Amino acid sequence: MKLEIKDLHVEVEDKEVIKGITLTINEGEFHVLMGPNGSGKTTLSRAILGHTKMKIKSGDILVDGESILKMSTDKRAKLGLFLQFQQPIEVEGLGLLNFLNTAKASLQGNLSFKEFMEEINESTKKLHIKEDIVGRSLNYGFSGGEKKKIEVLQMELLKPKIAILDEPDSGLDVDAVRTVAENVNEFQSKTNAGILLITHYSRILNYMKPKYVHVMVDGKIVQEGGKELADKIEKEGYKF
Amino acid sequence: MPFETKELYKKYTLNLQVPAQREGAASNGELDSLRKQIINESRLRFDLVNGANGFESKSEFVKVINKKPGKKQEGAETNAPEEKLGDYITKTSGNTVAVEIPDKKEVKLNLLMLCDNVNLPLEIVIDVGKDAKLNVFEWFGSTTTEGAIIAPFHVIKVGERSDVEVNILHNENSKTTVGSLNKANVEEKASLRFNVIYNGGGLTRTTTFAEAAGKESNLLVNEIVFGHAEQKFDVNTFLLNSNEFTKAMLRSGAVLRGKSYCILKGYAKVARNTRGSYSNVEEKGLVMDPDSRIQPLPDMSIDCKDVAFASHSASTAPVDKEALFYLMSRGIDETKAKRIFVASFISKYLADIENDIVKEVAISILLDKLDNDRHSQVPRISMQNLWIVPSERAKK
Repeated sequence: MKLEIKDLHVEVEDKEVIKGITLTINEGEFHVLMGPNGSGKTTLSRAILGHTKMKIKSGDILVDGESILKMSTDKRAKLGLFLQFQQPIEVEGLGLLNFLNTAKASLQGNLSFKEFMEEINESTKKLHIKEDIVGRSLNYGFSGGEKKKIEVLQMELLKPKIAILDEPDSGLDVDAVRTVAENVNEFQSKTNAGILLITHYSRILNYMKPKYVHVMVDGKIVQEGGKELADKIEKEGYKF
Repeated sequence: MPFETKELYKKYTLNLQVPAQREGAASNGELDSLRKQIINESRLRFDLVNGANGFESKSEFVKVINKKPGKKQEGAETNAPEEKLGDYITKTSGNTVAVEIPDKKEVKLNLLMLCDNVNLPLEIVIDVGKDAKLNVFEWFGSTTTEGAIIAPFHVIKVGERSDVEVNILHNENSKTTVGSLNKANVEEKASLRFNVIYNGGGLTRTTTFAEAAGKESNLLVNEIVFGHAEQKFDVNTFLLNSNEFTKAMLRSGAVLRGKSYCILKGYAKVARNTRGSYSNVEEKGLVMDPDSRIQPLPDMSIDCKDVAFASHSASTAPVDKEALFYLMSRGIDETKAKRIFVASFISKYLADIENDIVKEVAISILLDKLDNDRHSQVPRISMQNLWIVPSERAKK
C-alpha cells in the first residue's frame, strides 16, 4: 500500500492550517513527523482519515494511486488506514470488548470468539494492561496511559497497512513509553505496515528506528532527514 | 411542588386529555393477538394478563380486586395534574391490582397490561413486607384505533430492609395517551429501584413522587425516554429525603428523533434533620434530529445543613461528531456508529437494572424503533447488540 499526500492545503474553521504538504509513505516504511505545538500535525492526520471539519482546499490524498478525498472515514479505514488518536474519546456504556469486536468484524469479518479473545489477551499482556479493562466502557475513566495503550491494542488487533500514530508517547511515563515503542516495533516487523509517527519529542525514538524524519512548522514541512534530525531537534529545538 | 406553582415552569407542561369514550366502545378484538405476540417473543410467563375477558392473575401474590364497572368517561382535561389524574383513576378504575409480598419472601413477577379502545385507568398497589425481595416487570401495550388512555396509578410501599425493583415498559401505540401517577415510600434500610422506559404512546404525562422515608433507605428512579415522530413526553419526578442517611437519585435520559418533544422535570428535596443524606438529580438528552426538542428542568431544595452530597445537573447534545469520527475510523459505517452511540447512551440506564429480561426486552424494542422508525411493535427479543457494561455508579 502506498499513501501519497500531494500539495495538500487544509482549512479548519476558515483558517488555513495545512499549507502545501507533500509526503509519501509506503508499506514497511517508518516515518516520523515532528513539529512544535500548533504546526498542523494533528490536522494533517485527521484530514488523511477524512474528518469533516478538515476542509481540503486543494491538493490530493491518494492510496495506491487513487484519490480518497471523496471516501468516508470508515471506507478509508477499510482500505487499511488507521489513526491512533492523541485524545481518544470516551463513550460511557459502550463496552470496550464489544467495540473491539465490532471494529474487527467491520474490517476483517467475524472471528470466532476464541480467536478474538486470544488476540486481545496477547495484546493486553504485551502492553501490560490490566485484563479487567476490557470489561469496562470505551476509555471511560481510563488513565491517560491506559487510553494510549488501548489505541496501540486497537492497531495490533485491526492490523492496518498504514498506521498514523498521533503522539502515542504524550502523558506516558518512561516505562510506558518503552512498552508502547516496543509494541509498535514488533507490530511493524510482523505486518510490514507503514508507520507515520507524530511526536513533539525524540524520547520515544530512543527505542525506535525511523527511516525518515520530517519537520513541520506552520503548516509546511520545513526540513527532512533521517533519525539524526530528531537528535538535532532534541538538542536545539525547532529553530528553522 | 415547584413545577406546578412556579410561573416559570407553567409553559413546560403538556395538557393531558382523557379521550371521550365512544358509546359502546369495546375491545377491537386485537388484544388477544397482541398478548400472544408479546408472550411468544418475550418467552415470559406473565403472572397477570388482561384481554377481552378482563384481568386474570396466575400468582398467589397478585390479586385483582374488582371494584365496580368502570364509569363511562366523558372527554375531560386533567391539566392540573396529579390530584385530578388521581381522582380520575380512583373513580373510574374497575379493578385494583394488589401485589402483596409477605415478610421475608422473595418474588419475581411479570405483569402484562394492555388497552384497546376502552380507557384503562388502573390502580396498582404494591405492598412489600419486611426483609422481602421483589422484582416486578410491568409491560404496557395497546391496540387502540380510536384513541384511549392508559392510566396506571402505582402506590408502592417498601417495608423495612426489603429490596424492590419495579420495571415499567410503556410500549403503547401512537393513538394512546399515557397518564401515570406513581407514589412510593421506602422504609428503614430498604431500597427501591424504580425503572421506567417511556417508548410508546402519542402523548405521555407522568408524575412520580418517591420518598426515602426510613433511616438509611435507598431510592433510585431511572427513566429512559425514547421519542420519535411526533411523540410528546412530560415526565415529572419528585424525590424526597425525609430521614437521616437516606439516598435518593433520579437519572433521566432521553433520546429524541423526528419531531418528538420531551420535558424532563426532576425535583429533589432534602428535608430538615436528614444528616448524612445523599440526593442527586441528573438529566441527559441525546437529540438526533434538528426538529427534536428537549427541555430538561432539574431543581433541588436542600433544607438540611449537613447532607453528605446534593447535586443536580442537566445536559443535552446531538450525537457527538468526534465520537462518530472515532468509531468510523475503526471501519464502522455511520449508520452503525450512530446506532452504537444510541445503544451506549441507553445502556448507561439499563445497566442499573437487575432484571436481565427487562434489559433484553428494552434494548430490543428501543433498537427496533431506531432501526425501523416505528414503535409499539414487538420485535424479536435478543441480547444482541446490548452494550451494557457494569454501571460505574453501581460500583460506587
